Amino acid sequence: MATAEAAREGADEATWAQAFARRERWAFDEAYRRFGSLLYSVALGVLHNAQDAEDCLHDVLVRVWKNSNSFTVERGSVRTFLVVCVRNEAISRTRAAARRERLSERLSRETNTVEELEIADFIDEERVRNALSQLPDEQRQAVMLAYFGGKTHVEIAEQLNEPLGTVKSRIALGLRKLGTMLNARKRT
Amino acid sequence: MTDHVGELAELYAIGSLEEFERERVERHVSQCRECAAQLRDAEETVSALAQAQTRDLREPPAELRARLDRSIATRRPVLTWHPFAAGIAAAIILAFIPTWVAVDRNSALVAMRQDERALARLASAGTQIDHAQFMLPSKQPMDAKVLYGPRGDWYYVVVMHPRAGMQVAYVHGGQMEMLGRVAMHGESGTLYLPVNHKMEQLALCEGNTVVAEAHLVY
Repeated sequence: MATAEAAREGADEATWAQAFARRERWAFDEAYRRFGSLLYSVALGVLHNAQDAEDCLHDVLVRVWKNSNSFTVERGSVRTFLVVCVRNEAISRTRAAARRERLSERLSRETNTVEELEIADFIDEERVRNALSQLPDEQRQAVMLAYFGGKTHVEIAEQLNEPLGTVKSRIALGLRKLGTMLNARKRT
Repeated sequence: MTDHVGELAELYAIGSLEEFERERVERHVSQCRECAAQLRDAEETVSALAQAQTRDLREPPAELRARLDRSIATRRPVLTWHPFAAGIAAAIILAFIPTWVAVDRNSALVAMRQDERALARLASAGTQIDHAQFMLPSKQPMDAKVLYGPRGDWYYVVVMHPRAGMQVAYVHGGQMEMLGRVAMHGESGTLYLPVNHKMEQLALCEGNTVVAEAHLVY
């Protein structure tokens, strides 16, 4: 449609994000064009299976499209919103009962080695590696179990034999410090 | 306004909450700018981690683009239900689901009336009703749909022109679990499943042969 094409051609980031929030089809297509590879790679990084990653990305995008309240411009950038949506869905799927046994085996291996994990094994960017290494040990451990281990805060509390509130605070504080160090609050 | 989400924002962003906890956060931030901003910051940090961890970008399969086009071609209507009479509920469903026009309304209505439990559930459902299309292996739609609750607590399969002995199966983890046989009502068939867990893939089967599949989104 000519109007949609014109809107797409001339749209700046803010206009595009607002159109995405209003669930305009051209903005949705543009999001897929820009971030399809990133989102698929994020899903693949968690699920380690091409078909599962495809299904995960499909279901997330359809849910976002169908749910009028899922994204607002106050929530941040479209890219950040979609990355977190895809990652959360992928993690949920690894927690599904059908895969629980396989996941447990993997997590139990990680449980024994998490304190010796080399951050460089997971992170390519030096600034992110440095930021992680500067966190206090207990916060880094909680963040890594949550982020890399895909564990819930309840599971982490049980594993570390720490109160739930303590674990929640460590994750939250650790992530906030990471954000400060990465200058993540500076909106692009 | 309920209590702010506090640390749950960071736990949400990092993927450490269970689904029911995530839903609470999503509901709250949709109405609270302060918490939305907190969540935005946390999500930007996690997004930076995710992108730093993603070494090689992989192109999604070309088929995914086609799947998405099919899935979002018709925006799903939101149906809000009141305790209408069962017959009215059935009529509203038939009137408001756009793709339903492909089936014989009268036959479907007759079939639905014969399943009182399903209609009672539909009539009393306090939230929107989701639906998914059964697709043939050729990727063409079959005249069959599943209506289901957003919480995965009930499912109602309606098949037009079913063949005798047709069954519905839950597909998960590479396995098929037969859930029940489609009841024949003239030109249509139905199966009501008050199953209390979310099923993401259902199959219509003849014997052990899959005739069509539906992917359910929550």
